[in-house]
Amino acid sequence: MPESASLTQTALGDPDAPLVARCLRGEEAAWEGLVKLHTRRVYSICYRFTGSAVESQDLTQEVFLRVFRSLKSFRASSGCFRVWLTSLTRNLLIDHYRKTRKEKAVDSIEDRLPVLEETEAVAGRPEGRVAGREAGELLRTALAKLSPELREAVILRDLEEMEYREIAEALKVPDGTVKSRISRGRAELARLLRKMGAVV
Amino acid sequence: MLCAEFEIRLCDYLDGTLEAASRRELEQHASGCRSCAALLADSAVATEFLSRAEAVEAPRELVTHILHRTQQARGAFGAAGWRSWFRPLLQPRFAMSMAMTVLSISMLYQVAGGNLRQLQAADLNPVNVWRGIDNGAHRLWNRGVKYYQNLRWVYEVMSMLRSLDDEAEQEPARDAGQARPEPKKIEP
Repeated sequence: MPESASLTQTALGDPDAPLVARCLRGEEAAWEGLVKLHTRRVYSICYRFTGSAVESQDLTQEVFLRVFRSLKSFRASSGCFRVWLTSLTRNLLIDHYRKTRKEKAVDSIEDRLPVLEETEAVAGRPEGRVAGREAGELLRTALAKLSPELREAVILRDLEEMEYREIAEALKVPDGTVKSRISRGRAELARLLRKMGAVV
Repeated sequence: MLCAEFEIRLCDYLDGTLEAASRRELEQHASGCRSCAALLADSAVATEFLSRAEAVEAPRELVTHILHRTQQARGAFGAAGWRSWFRPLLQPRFAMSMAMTVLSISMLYQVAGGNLRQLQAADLNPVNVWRGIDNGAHRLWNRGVKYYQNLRWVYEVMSMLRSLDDEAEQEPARDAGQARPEPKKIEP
């Protein structure tokens, strides 16, 4: 297939393509639209990954700053904007994880007290069935204990509902590896949730 | 089917996108392999729990913060060439300082005897400018001295000081007159 035809097809398949094109022409309104459209998603990925609202806000801002600076390097022919944005977010999260890993390893017991108390409260319940915000909090605690590789795969598939192909593109690994990581991540998550008494 | 393959195809199985034959194959493997059966059960539990978790909402002010930061970045990178050098000078605080400087210079020029309305090219000659400033400064100084000396209380204080000085000069002369011994008469 000729490159121009491929480009047109990809651009047509990408719902963000018109906005991105307008951004590249320097339209401020288009940039604002793009930010409004994707802020929730980027913030959600950051929050699920780090478990901290403050860190997630900083990281989301950093992601969009990077997008703003490198939007010219984005090529519609090489994938859709959503996947590119996810890949950028993921890279920043991994950098952040490496930087803060040592600090988090020496977290004091005071920081973990609310989680421990919450776990005891949930375990005391007869059915152990939680939902909504409570489930979100338990999930945050459990996800923090997963390895970054499994964590990002589970977040992108089960919480951000991305396609396997898109996740593979964002993480730059084969489809099979993505599925394998998701399966292992889910199983590990279930074991952690069971320990916390969140599931039976 | 190998366990590694089971691990990969498990995702499609839970999504319900596997064909009937593949589904049966996968279920058969799980019935004969304890670790894969546990993997299947745990994955199903986790998927169900994940669906119950509340969606994360971004803080409302986050979009504003992002737009503000990118606006700053646009300011830093947007200006091209020499124009970017002048951009900091056009900030309100610098513009205000520049306006005050121009005002001060024009006031100094007026004081130096120049007239801004009749400004000519020769007036901008450094020698003429210096001469004008020197002349103006002397006139200003003389005017200030005259004004000061003509003040009533200054005049009073100075006249008082002058009278004190006069008295101080007269007193030693008087003391000298009293202390002088009378000349003794010399007997013939």
